[in-house]
Amino acid sequence: VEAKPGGDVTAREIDRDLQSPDPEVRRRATTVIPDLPPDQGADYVVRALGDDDWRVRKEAAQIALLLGPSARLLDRLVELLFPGDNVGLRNAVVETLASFGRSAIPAVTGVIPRLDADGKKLAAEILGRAQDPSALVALERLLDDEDANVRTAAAEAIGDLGSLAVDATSRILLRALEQGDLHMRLAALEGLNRLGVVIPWEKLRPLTGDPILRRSALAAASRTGRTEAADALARALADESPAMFRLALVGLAELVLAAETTLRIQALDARARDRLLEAMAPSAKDEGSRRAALVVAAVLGEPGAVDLAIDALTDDRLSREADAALRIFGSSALPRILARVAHGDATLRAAAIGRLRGLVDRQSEDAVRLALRAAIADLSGEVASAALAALGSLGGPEDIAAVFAVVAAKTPGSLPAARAALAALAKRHPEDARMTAQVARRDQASHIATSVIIGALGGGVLGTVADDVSFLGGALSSPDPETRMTAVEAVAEVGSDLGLDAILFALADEERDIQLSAVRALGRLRSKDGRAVGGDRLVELTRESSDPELVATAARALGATRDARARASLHPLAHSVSPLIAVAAVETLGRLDDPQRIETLLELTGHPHAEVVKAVLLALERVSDPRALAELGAALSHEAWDVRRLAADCLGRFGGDQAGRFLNDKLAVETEPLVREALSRALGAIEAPSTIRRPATIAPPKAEP
Amino acid sequence: MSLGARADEVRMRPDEFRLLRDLVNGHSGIYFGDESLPVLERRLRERLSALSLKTFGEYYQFLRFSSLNAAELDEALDLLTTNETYFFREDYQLRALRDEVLPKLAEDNAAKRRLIVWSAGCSTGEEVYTLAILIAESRLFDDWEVRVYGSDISRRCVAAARRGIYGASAFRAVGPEIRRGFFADKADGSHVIDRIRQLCHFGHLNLVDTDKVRVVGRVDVVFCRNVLIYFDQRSRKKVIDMFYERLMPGGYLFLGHSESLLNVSTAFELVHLSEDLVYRKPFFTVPPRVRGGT
Repeated sequence: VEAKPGGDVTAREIDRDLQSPDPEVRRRATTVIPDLPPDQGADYVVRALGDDDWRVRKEAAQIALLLGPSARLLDRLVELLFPGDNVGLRNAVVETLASFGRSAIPAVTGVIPRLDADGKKLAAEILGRAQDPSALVALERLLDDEDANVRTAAAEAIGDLGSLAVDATSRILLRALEQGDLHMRLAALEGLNRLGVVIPWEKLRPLTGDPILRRSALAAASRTGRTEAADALARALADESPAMFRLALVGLAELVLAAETTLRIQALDARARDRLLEAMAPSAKDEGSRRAALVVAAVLGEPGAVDLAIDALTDDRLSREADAALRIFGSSALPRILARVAHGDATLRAAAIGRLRGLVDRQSEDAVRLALRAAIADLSGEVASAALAALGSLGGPEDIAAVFAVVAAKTPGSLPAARAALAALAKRHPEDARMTAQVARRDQASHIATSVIIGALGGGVLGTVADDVSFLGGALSSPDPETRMTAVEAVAEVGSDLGLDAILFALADEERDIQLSAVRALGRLRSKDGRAVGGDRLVELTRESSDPELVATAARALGATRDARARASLHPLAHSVSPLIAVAAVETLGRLDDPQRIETLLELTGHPHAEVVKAVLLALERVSDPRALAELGAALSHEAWDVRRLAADCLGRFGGDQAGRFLNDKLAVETEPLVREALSRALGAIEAPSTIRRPATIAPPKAEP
Repeated sequence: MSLGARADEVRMRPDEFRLLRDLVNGHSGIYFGDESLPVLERRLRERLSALSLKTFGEYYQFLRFSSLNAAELDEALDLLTTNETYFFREDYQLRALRDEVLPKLAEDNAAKRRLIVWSAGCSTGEEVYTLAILIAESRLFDDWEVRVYGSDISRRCVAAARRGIYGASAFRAVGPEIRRGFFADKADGSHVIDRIRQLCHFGHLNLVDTDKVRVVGRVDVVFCRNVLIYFDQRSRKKVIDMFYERLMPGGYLFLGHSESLLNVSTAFELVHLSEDLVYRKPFFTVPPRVRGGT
């Protein structure tokens, strides 16, 4: 049977093909089931769900979703939760009913009282996987079922639902932890672990002695923030089981990373120490253990850990823990870091320099500055940039001349960092910076550096503001684009309208970046009394230019003028057919405190370009107006899935009961997995749970073999 | 073109010439008469090689419809408009500026102490620096706000002008005092000294893009020599009107020796100087279209 254009496939044909010995014929027959009347289709799709071949079952599950959760199909599916021999069919039924989400919950909960224990376990699984908080009532009831396996399955399912209703699930699971039998307590504990719920140490301590619960209890101990828990985890490092060692190690590291003050850990016995050193060695294969071991070794003050942590700084998988380890070591790590700054791989040297700022103290200040001064002229742009960034915040007035010279040299790899460092030093030591600039003003090669200082100090560097603007005008005639760019930016920072002509002419620069920079500068340019002076020209630009990038940049610059007339011109730009311009205008409007922006934003929710609609949603999210909420809710039905997903996230941040209702209603019908995930996430955010959670940040412990 | 012809053998057909000519004219106002076919063919041929195109017809399509057409049009204009020039060219006009116009402007602008000069179509910058040298030498504007703007439709020319480094041929009409006083000889050529360079500002402007040229602001003098001769009548009129609008009342327009505003309806008044005729925007403005041609 093949699908026919008129959709006039007969039930007899499907019936015949579903009996074919060839699985491909049966699969193809399944694909045309939607052409049948709905009730008939439900019967055939259930038949296909029970097929021997997984491909047919998979196709049938897809078709069931396509047919939707009709009463007939739900009735037929829940019937299959009663005892039967076809395991494949029951699995497919669980899959399909769970995919229907909230729509399947009344049918499943309605049938539970009549199901046997196996059926109830399946029902609990469906309810957990349906990812809808309305299943919680039925699942809580199953916690009191006479069958232990059903109770355990219910506790597991509640754990699965957790993120949608954190407070409610945590309350139920904590009750189950205190009152339930051993297996239910284990399921509850694991559910709480998955949610990252903080369980008081007093409740956990007795569980750490139970051979069944110990592992999960120690995993939970890592979230308590208590020294006693750290001791328990440290003792567990001596456990014979490698899995328990790993769990304790990761838990200990989590505890340390989450602690607001440095936790003390008792010294390890020789065997535990050997295992720790083994775990953090570069040759160790388990990445999670290695990450955790770096942190724990730092707390224990293991000397070899400093170099290993430095080595790990450039490894994306380990850098967070390596960084934390070096912070724990504090200034005692500085000699090793300084030794590594001078030699070796450039990326590693740059990373090591980047850590100096957080570790330097009064005693080490001079040695650190000395190392940085040597590194700012390094041949590697990466190293020089890192050193300049560090010197920008750690350097003194005596460093201005050296950084000034680096800016003047305009080395491509390190110029941005050099400019930022010089600006930072100038702001901290303005008098020294002024003197340096005045001495160098005649030297054309130094115009870029002098411009940086004028920009950083906002004028008054070479004399009067007029003197500075005149100097910058000269710098704008430089053949070097970087000098012109820096001068344009500096003119914008000097509080004077004298620079307007210079910036206007920079709009005709042959370098695109300088044109755009000049447009942005027009938005920032202020007269002495703080009035925006570039607004009129920006408005003209948006009206006259046919260059979308320039107009989009002008739209953003208009926002910076904070000028009412300039703001008004953003409204028509937001309706531009060019998405580049419309997005720029919408984003700018969204950031302004303009009461009229809501009207424009509401008009744009129907814009044909999805990116514009997304920008509108993000802007509406910040507007406290019921119309904005209604539009965010309506966007949950937008044809583009990425718009629907963003609308869900926006509603989550918007918050409130109505936003929750929109999200819940959509969750019942949405089929796109990524949108469903966003809906669940948003619902979790709206709930604003009072439960304290500390989700794991290092790889979760593996199951005991 | 025969199959297998090399790029340097590709010929421009008359119909291709007309298409390209009109495209360039529409964008820049520059007009190539029918006799210019070999010029376009020779100058644009390298673009065919660069873009792996087989005919000038394909090149026309590229300029019209490619996503890279704006950049390519700049390339084409670079090739079609580059003209060799030199310092202190047509010195009788420069003497007129130095001896009669600058003193008058020094008097007229004494209150605001500001002088703005624009070299429109400045090519590689020789005229801009010449004007700046004349202004500096006059000593009439010391401590004034002085700007000499140079603009050209060719990006490459603007970049070269900014560099301000010149070979010997640019100095064919320059005396040794000027060269010593305002240039520094280095291994790569003669560099304009910083004092002059800082007066000069360069921009990439298409003169028929009358909206964009407003970045120049109001100016006291416009030099636009040997540029309008390449324009068609309509574009010439548009540019002249734009100059009128950009000039301050009492501002001067210098055209090339072979150029005049004959046959162009304009409100400029003709001023007879001892060595030259220049155009001036009247102090009391009359709308350009009301008055007859000069």
